[in-house]
Amino acid sequence: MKQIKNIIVMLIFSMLLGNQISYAQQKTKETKEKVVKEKKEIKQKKDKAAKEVKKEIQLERKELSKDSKSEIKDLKEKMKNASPEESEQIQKKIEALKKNNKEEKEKIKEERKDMKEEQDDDVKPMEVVDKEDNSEGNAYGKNKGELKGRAFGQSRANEARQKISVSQDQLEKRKEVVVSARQRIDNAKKRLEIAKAEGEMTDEQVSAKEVKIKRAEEKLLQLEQTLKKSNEKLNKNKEKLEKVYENKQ
Amino acid sequence: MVLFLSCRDTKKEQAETEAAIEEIEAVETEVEEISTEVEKESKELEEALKELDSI
Repeated sequence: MKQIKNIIVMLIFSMLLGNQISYAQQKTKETKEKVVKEKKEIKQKKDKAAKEVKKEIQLERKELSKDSKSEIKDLKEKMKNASPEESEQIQKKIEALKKNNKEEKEKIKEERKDMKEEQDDDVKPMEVVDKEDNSEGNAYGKNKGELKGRAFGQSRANEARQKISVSQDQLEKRKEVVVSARQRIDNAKKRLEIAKAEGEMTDEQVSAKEVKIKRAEEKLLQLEQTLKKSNEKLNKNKEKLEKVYENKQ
Repeated sequence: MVLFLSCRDTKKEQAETEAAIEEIEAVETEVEEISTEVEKESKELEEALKELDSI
């Protein structure tokens, strides 16, 4: 009888202990998930701010380059009809314009650096936390700072998602590069046609320049195809990541 | 019993996490490869375009 009593007491005790353990585990999981969410929000804010700054700087650059390029084009056209003395002066003007362009670009770069430093200062405490988290390597199950198991997996999935979105942003920027590259190739073709019509170049020179144009066209086509494929791959990977934890819920 | 169940759940969760991490790492590797390829081809295009400026 006494033994049965002891067994019952032991059982009740172990059940209470088990409940306590599972409750404590749940609590820590919740707090960890909260921390992950907060981190994500701060990172998103930082990314948004950085994107805005980049856009502004890109717009400034485009405007600058458009203005200076059109001026240089005008001057080059003038050069064709000018006397040797005038053409020297025009050449000097073109060089001065190019110098100005470079200086302004450097200024923009410096501004960008300043902006980055400011942003980094704003988010420093979080970065320190991130570094601490990363210091524990990539072992499965129980790494990434204090994160363990499922919480760790979800945080890794979030990181991968962010990498994909960064990569997609880069692809979008490359599409702009493709458009401007096509424009440059068209301009080069036009210039070559004009030069041919005016009989300024020998047949060898013309064919060498045609080869250059063809090569650029091939590279452009190659990049366009890669961009298309890459976009498809990134979308597929995004779907994969969504499913990684969807299946296990 | 409770301890046994808790241990079993932890092991199961660990195995699931391992599988998930493997998938995530595969995705990350592919994303990095994509970025590298696009970067390389962009550079090649830029070089080809620079040669056109002399025309």
